[in-house]
Amino acid sequence: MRKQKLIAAILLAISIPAVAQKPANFYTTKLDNGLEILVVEDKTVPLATVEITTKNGSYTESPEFNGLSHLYEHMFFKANKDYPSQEAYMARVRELGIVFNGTTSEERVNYFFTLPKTNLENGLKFMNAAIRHPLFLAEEMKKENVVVDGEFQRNESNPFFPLLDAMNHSLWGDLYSRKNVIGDHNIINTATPEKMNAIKEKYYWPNNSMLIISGDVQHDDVFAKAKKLFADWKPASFNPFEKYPIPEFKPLSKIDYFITESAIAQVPIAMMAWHGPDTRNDRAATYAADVFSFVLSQNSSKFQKELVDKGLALQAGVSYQTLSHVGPIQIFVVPNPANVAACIKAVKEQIVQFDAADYITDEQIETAKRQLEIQNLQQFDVTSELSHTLAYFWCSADLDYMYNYVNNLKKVTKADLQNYVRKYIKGKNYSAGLLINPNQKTQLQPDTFWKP
Amino acid sequence: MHIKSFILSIAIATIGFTAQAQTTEFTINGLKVIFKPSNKQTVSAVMFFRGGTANYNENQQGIESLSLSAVTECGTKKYNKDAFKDIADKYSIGLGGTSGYDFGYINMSCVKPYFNQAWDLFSQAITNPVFDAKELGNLQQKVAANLQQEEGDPDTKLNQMAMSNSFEGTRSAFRPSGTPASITSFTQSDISNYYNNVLLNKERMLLVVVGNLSIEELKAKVEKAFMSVPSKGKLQLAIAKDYNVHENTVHIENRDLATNYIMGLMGAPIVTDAKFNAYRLAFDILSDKLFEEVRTKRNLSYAPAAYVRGGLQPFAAIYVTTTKPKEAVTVMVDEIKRLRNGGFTAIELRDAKSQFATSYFMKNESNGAIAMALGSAELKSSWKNEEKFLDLINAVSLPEMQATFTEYTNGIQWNYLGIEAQADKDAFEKRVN
Repeated sequence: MRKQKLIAAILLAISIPAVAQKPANFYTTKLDNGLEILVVEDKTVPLATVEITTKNGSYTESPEFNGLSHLYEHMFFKANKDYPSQEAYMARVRELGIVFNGTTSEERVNYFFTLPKTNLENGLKFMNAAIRHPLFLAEEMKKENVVVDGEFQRNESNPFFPLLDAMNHSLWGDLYSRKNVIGDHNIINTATPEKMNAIKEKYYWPNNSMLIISGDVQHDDVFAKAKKLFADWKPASFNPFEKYPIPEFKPLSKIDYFITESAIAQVPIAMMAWHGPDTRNDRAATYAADVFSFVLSQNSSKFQKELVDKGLALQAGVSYQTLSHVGPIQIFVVPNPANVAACIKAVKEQIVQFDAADYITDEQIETAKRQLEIQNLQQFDVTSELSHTLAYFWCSADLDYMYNYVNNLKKVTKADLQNYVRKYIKGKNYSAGLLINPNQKTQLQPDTFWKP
Repeated sequence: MHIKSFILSIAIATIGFTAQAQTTEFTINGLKVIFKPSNKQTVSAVMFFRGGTANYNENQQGIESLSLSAVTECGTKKYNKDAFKDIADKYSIGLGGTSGYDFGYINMSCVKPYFNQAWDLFSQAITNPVFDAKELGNLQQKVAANLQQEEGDPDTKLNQMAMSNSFEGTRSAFRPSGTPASITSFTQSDISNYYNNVLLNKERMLLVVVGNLSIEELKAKVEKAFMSVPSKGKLQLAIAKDYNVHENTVHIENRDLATNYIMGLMGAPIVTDAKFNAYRLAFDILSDKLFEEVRTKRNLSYAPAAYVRGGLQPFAAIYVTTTKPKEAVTVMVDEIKRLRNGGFTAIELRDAKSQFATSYFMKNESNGAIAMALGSAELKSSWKNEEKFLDLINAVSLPEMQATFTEYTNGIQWNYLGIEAQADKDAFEKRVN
């Protein structure tokens, strides 16, 4: 689970643990065309956030479409039936006092406008035109292909990029495109309106999307306005994920150690990654994964004591990303440059102990649960950001997953953590990458220690 | 009380609250405190320390940032590092410290039910840090490695180039976070002496708290916690000066990157001048114009931007990443030139004010952001300016904005990080006036 983005319905779930409960300020409805609508009322500031999320992203991309969910997201902010050019579109953004953005990830594309609450109806109309009626003008596309490629080039200028990209190749093999959100230069630069329309026809339907309105709004009013605007959005006659199924990732067939050289990398960085659980097949393990990651981040954990406190690593952490199609588990370590080989040896020794009875204490488990619960609670403070998190979990799980999240965390036992480790980490194949610059490679001789 | 009950009680308190409560200030034993009540789950407290880079010399770059970080990382008299961090973990208390150009701070965030535990750690860290030698050594290594890693980040490197090239020989050319060499050179006594002798001084400190607390409760806690903090007399702090650039310059550093990173620095009025808000609005409009002209119309960049910084050393900046530097820089200069020559419209000003309002309210969703904004405003002039920000923005007129923009955009100090062969020096010499 992404540490900063998880949200759960903590408010009433505590008192009624057996049944999925949404918070008291959450209101939901579903239009006849299948569009789900979620309203989150919060009158802290006089703003409204209008957000639409669609189940789309790199997991829907075969190699010839790699990067085009993201390009599509960019095209959302261009000409549509009401605004004939991006200039006109942007003029309307400014006129309505909108702060906007969109994001694309593996399994979610979301678009959001935060604006004065008095402009809510105009914001809904603006969203309706953009999501349903994009024009994909050839001339605009030709320009935006280059802009998106410019975003890609910025990523490539970061020293971490080559390590992350090599890790994706190693972890996902033939299905690399399904996890490579930024895409492929050639595919981006040659993208056409036809390809955009192909994505629209596959995924951009009301019954594959959710509308989230949050802020200083009144839910009945929002439902009425949204119905008026979105009710005639024609639904898909098919389930996109049945008609265009996402191929299943095959388990890793080997342990793969690789070294990534980058002249601009200043400090060695090591990553190890495994195929983890997903929300379709093993939800219980996704909760265990979160608790486990939070236990190992604690100062008192053996993981931190052996690696950081002993001076072998400058940073060490474990994470799990919640997804519906194989969430990766990652160990990220910045070794002490003076002790790289010893640090890597110690990391491997830790992994061997992950499922030992005395590796984790009951108190650490309770602390991890409390940290996750508090973190979730604090995310309710910033409603305009909460919408994005809600969108993420609607796409990669469902609202019940969030509503029951804290209850399910509380059920996690030490045995569940051990089972999670044994099922997904210990003794399993994995990918391991070391980022290093050419000078460090000569000094450190990584071939002597960077191996299974 | 059992944890479960705590959480439930604050959850219920959340539903349906509305108001932005009144902010107040008070002084207890010489320590100034700003308090804003809030019904949010999070309680935020920030202890500010005035001065920043003005507090140390060139050879000490990073000492303040490291000292403030060490305060929450290296144990206290009451709690050794492990005990301190274990309590922070147990109650999910966020604690950290750092320093910038004009001030440093130690911040704390927690949920209301654990405020007592959080306050204990926060106040112990500030009043009784021990800078344990082993922990400090580990922290120095970690910070040095982070700084080294940042050298590889083109945006960090470009910012450093811009500040050191424009403000050479002044404290604004310092690196507040230090360098790998400076950070590892400090001894335990360097850090301890700096914190206790330079920073720990009521005249230098300002406490800002935002959260669901009673003012009486807070006053009692402040009185008890910070009674021992010494007073060392009135501070002589640096005075802000406006900045203007009249000639173009360019500094180029070759780096083999997938795209080239470019930043140009320009002048700006001081933050307490009424012109400052006019200038901010003008640069907001410029940023939109660069988006339209550089990105939308000519697809020369993913990320053109323009902004104003309002510290003791104010300045404005334009920024772009591009594989076509000559074209992008030319368009940016032309757009500034056009705006200088009566290019702003009343509609653009109206819309910029509207977007500022949205951004302002978004910031006011987070208690942590509110605490930082109030404290920062107080250190620059008065926290009240943060509360009346929208009034100040709305008071800006079109002629005022136009005149301020023309007054402060006379030359550009360019910095270029990327493939040197692609840099066209003629483009950087192109004047805006």
